[in-house]
Amino acid sequence: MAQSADKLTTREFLELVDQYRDELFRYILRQAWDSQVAEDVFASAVLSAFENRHKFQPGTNFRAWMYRIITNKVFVANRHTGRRFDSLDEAGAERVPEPERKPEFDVVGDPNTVLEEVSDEVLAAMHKLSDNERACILLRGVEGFSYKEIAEILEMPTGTVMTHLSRGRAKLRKELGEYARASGILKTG
Amino acid sequence: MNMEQEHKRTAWLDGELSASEAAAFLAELSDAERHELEQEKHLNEGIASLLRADAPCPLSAWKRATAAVYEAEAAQTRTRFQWRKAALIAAPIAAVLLVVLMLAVPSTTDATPTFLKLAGATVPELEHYSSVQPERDQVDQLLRQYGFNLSLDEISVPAHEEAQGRTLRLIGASTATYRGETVVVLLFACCNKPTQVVITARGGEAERAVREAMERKSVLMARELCPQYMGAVVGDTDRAGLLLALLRVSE
Repeated sequence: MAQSADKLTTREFLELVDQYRDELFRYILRQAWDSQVAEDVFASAVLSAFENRHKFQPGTNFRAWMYRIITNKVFVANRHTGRRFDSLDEAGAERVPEPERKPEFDVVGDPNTVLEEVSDEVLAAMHKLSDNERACILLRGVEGFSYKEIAEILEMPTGTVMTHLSRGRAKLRKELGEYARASGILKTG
Repeated sequence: MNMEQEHKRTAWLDGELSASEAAAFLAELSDAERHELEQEKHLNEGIASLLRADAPCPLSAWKRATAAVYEAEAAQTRTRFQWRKAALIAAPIAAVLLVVLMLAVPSTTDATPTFLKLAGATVPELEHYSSVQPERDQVDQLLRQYGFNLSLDEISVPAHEEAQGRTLRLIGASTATYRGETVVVLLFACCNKPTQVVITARGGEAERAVREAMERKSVLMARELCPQYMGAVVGDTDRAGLLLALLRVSE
């Protein structure tokens, strides 16, 4: 995206955002607590991008730039909703031990079975992650950004991105495993 | 698992290792660990696939966003219009103020050198400016001292003019410097008004200043006294010609 957003007319700017609007909204929706909050964040982020389009560097990635703005907005919104996450700040990311893996609960052994049954639980489990863990998993697994791009969007070192990915995925496995065991999808022992 | 192993594992799962790095990483694992890793990759892809499921941006959200953008654009346009309007109003006011200032403070644009301006607004003030006694011989001495081969004739005013108040009196002389050149300034009281006769050498900067001042009408009269000297009258008098005629080349 070599075009300067600063020189775009309002219509051109909106046409550009329109190209990504579904994926941007999905990214917000996967992180926000409800669709109303997601709509608020989406409108606020698009407006913020419009008002700050002069800060966009020509020749850089417009899509990644939008994700950075949206990530900041959604993090702020989540703080304002008062919901508590298992906070894992960037500095602490390197120190937090990986959740203990219990083979008898581990969904890795039978992912197809589990995933067929637990799609709603995946979404619920995502909300139990910290903002950064969830954002890293979404940006990598769903939106397809590289580690370097994620590091730029979240303004953190690449190593920290990898740590958030690893810890976040481990937590997801644990959450889904416990659910699968409790609901009888997976047998213990 | 240490941090490095954890990062390698994550990078392998995400396909961020190079082929050689991936091969080296897998070589360190047992068959069971490799199998578990493949399963985990499969699980991650499955979770991503679930999360990637359609969640289209509702039309209401898009309408809200575009409305907010157009409102911001309108606000920016209003602000730009207000600035333009202010500029349109301010520009003529500024122009009028500039003209008023130029008229009110003409001296700020007056290029007339100091030696071509009256040194005093009244006769006593002009007398104070003199560096010699108001005597002809002292004036002649001053002229000679600064290289002007000129002398001042005796002032003679007819009695009937004197009776009418048309007096003419020498009140002194002084010197000034203009761009390195010395000029002699003779001081008179003409009908009790301060009047000066400025004498400059010809061909220099001072003469040029005199001619420019003549064009601007900031000196009353100027003429060549002889091939070497120029004389100019500053003040408000109808005797400028007589004053310049008082100066003659010395024998």
